[in-house]
Amino acid sequence: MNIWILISMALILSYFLGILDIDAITKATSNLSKFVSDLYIEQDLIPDALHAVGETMLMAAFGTVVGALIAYPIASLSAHGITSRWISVIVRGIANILRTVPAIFWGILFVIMFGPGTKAGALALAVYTSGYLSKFFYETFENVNKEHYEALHSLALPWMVLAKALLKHSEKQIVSHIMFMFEYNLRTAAVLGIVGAGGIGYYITQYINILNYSAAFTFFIVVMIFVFIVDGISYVLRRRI
Amino acid sequence: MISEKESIIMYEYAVETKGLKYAYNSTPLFEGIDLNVKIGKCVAILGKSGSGKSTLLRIINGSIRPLRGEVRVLGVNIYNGHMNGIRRRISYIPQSLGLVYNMSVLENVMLSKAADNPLRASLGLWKSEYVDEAMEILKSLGLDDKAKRKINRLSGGEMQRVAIARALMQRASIILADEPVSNLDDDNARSIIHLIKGLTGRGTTAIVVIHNKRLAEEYMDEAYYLGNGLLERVW
Repeated sequence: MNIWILISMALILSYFLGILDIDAITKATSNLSKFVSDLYIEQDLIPDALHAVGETMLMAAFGTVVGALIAYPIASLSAHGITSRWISVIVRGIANILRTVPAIFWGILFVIMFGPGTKAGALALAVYTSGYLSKFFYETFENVNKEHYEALHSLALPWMVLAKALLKHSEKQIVSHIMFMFEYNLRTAAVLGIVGAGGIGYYITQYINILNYSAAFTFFIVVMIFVFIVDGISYVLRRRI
Repeated sequence: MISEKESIIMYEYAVETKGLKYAYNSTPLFEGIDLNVKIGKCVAILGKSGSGKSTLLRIINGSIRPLRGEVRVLGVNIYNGHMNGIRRRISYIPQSLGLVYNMSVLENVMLSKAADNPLRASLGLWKSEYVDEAMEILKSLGLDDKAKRKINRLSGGEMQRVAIARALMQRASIILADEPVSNLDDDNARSIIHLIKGLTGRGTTAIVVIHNKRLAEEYMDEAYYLGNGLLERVW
């Protein structure tokens, strides 16, 4: 694809969206600098922010672990060549629904069921994660070296044992997917708070609603630092796997 | 399920192929391959790289279908019969051995018995009599002290022995081994071929793709050369 075509498309689309309006850009820049200049970190809120980060990490960890546990049997039944074609088509369809519905919608559903708080957020993440990880898992199973797969297949293994053998064979990739999902869930958990599903997003939303942007900014900075730290640790661990 | 006794009584041939034709990416690989391997024979398939030796084994194993032709294993047409029953009588050892690297030696051997109780097998809860049988087999192959070791911590020769141990545990009637000794030194290669030959003495049939003509001459009952799309008997 020609880069100039992409640039032309971007310019045309920007024009129709009004983004190329110089006056609007100037005013936006001025608004941003005024907004940023009023922001500061409220140090007395840091302990509350750390508590909120702890809640967020708990939600993300629960969502990832439980999601992975649900994803494994779904992936085993979805992967081509483990069970019959019909079963894999149907189960894959269910997994697609779990993944296609955005996490925030699952958050809303569980808030309706359980009320606002971390429980709703954790369950929403578990359901969303199961859909995502099942796809990662079954694609990993299907990409196992053909020779290996044929040798295992020649043992006429029952589907759950074949799935276990494929899981053990692809352990490194599976662990890598789970770690990636934990990083992703940490970010998503922060957002779920917008719909009342607990975590640091809940507190940020509350402060924005009462126009206390500095408090919201404080919580935002704390969670960003933690996300960077977790990303860094996860990157190092994944390279070592 | 056909018992081994029945197969010996009913069938003279462990493997029969008739008129096999296969092409790879529209390039003909072989045309009209006829191969008849009697029960209890140890047969070598020789040939240059790319001649289709591995493909022939995969067709016999039922992993891929030929464009034309028939394959019978223990008298059963593998495209008409119930393949699972026959599949459990075949131990296919590809070049990569097909072992699960993150499982232990014992776990890999036990996979042969997984069909007896899938749920227990998937949880790693094996019957004690199976574990005892597996340990006996590993002991006979000099691997009992490595039973708990993961496959990726074994040497090439040891991995080959584990693949054979799994075939023994499976009580396979037919072993299809694709270049089982290509990455081994002379001593290890000889001991592996000697092991496979020993199994045929108990009624198992072995079809082995091998490049080492000297070892083939020493151990194999029959040998065929696959080249230019044709299979010719050498001895």
